[in-house]
Amino acid sequence: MMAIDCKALSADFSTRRSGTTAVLKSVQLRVMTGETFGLIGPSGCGKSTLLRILAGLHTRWRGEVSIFGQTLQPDNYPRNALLSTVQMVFQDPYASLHPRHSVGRALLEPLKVNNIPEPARRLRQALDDVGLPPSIEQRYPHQMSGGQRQRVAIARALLLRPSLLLLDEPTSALDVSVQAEILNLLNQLKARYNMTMLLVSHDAGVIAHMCDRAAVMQDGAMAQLLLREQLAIYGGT
Amino acid sequence: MAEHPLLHVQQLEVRRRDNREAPLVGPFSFDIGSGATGLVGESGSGKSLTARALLNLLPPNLQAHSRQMRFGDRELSTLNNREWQAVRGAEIALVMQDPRHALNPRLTVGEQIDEALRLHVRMRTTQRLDRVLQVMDEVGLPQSRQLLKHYPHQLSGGMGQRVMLAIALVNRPRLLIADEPTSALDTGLRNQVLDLMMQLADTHGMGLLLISHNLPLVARYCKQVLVMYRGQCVDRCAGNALDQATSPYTQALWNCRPSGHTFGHPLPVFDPESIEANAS
Ligand SMILES: Nc1ncnc2c1ncn2[C@@H]1O[C@H](COP(=O)(O)OP(=O)(O)OP(=O)(O)O)[C@@H](O)[C@H]1O
Ligand SMILES: Nc1ncnc2c1ncn2[C@@H]1O[C@H](COP(=O)(O)OP(=O)(O)OP(=O)(O)O)[C@@H](O)[C@H]1O
Ligand SMILES: [Mg+2]
Ligand SMILES: [Mg+2]
Repeated sequence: MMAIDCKALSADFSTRRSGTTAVLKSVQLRVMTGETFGLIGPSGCGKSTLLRILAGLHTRWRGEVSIFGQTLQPDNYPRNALLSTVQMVFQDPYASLHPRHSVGRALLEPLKVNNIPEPARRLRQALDDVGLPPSIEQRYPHQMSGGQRQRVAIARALLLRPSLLLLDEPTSALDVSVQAEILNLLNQLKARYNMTMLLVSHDAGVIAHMCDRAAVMQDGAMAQLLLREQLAIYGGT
Repeated sequence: MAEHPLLHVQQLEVRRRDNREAPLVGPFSFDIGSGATGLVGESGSGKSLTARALLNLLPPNLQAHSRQMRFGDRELSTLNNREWQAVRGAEIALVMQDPRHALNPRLTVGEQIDEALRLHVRMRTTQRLDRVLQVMDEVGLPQSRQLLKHYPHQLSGGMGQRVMLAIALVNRPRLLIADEPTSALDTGLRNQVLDLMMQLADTHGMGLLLISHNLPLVARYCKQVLVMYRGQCVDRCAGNALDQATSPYTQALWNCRPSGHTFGHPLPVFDPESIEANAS
């Protein structure tokens, strides 16, 4: 089955002062189940917008989009079918964490809402998976370093064992050794739970290390598809 | 290092007010001269807290202490709040990590850059607008006249980062502290932004403290590199000597970078015991 299938996907933003601007222009994208697919492209070309549409967070679009065979409508995201299936890690970790909720609360809530047994144990496991000590539970977002915040955001996305992970620059705030641990973890979990990943990164090394295929976006459209042989030499060393 | 560094810091420590025991950072001594100094290291090792301590901008539950913090011929550790306001943003500027969080969601891009300028200089409105547009062009923000009117939530991640940089550079500071200023930028823009900072460093003698996780970048641009691990400075070396570092932590940082060759294999990770064995 296809994990993601987009045909002629277009999106725009309108602002009072500068009118309507097209951000995605008839995008085609097919990602296979179990694949790690990379998205590359200059700043502002629409990568985050595409991910937000797939997560049901941006609703002004036209075209055909389906995830694991479920059809998305701009004004009707199949939440019941996809809620725990699709998880997103945001470019800015503050965006996924409530400023007044402690880490413990932020991570327990989705477990409780979904009636997951033994939430406390699952919480500790999730923190351990991303290399954070249990004591971080009491912290608030502003009391952590940038990398710690990002790891909490990743732990939260992994908590419900999603089938599709949308990763927007997941490791750009991390040092290379923590990055290595997180990338290893993502690959392990992917193998164990047969996850599909859509990964946005400006780091050629990260894309070349992680992805089976990747697309280069340019000004709101897909400009080039890179296969594994091309990715192996992508970004030089 | 020149005989008169721009910033001379002795025994800087950052502690929690409610826990006087172990410091979160330090004791940490270093000099920043002209040109770029890199600050790299483990996530959570104290790089951002060090940067904030240099500007007296720590969160309320933390406290900094240092034996000396000399900037030019000024001693910073004894400044009062009003004196700090004159220094901060004008002579020493900071680009914070997490740009969108640091921007005010209710003010437009133009208003925020202009505010930074107005706080420190007296200029006519039209002159200020010219200066704002100029600095936006310098940091590579496209269509600056339109972008002036945008609010932070309407920007992509990389644009937010460049707005932060424009705010920091608008007053031509003598020292720029940049905390991950290019992590959300593509390679082309990243080089453009760094080249701009280096050019300002050269022509205006600006000092630059560059906090980054990108080691090849730091190796390329920085004269001197400080490496932090768990609140301590565990290594210092020349930027172009990073690949031959002898400290186990610096070595590990250099070696665990992903690439096309590591596809399908787990990346090497750092074993904390190697550094503890080395230290004792
Ligand atoms: N809420 C919004 N209102 C108006 N324009 C917006 C809004 N959000 C994004 N845009 C614009 O849409 C374009 C694409 O933004 P997007 O965040 O998808 O880019 P990106 O490819 O993720 O870039 P980056 O690599 O810098 O994060 C940008 O030009 C941006 O200014
Ligand atoms: N307000 C605070 N109260 C208590 N601890 C804090 C606070 N802010 C930061 N810390 C802790 O201090 C340590 C250093 O944080 P800092 O933000 O300086 O790390 P960093 O080196 O910048 O990391 P990163 O690369 O992830 O941004 C971390 O362990 C962090 O959790
Ligand atoms: Mg983005
Ligand atoms: Mg930091």
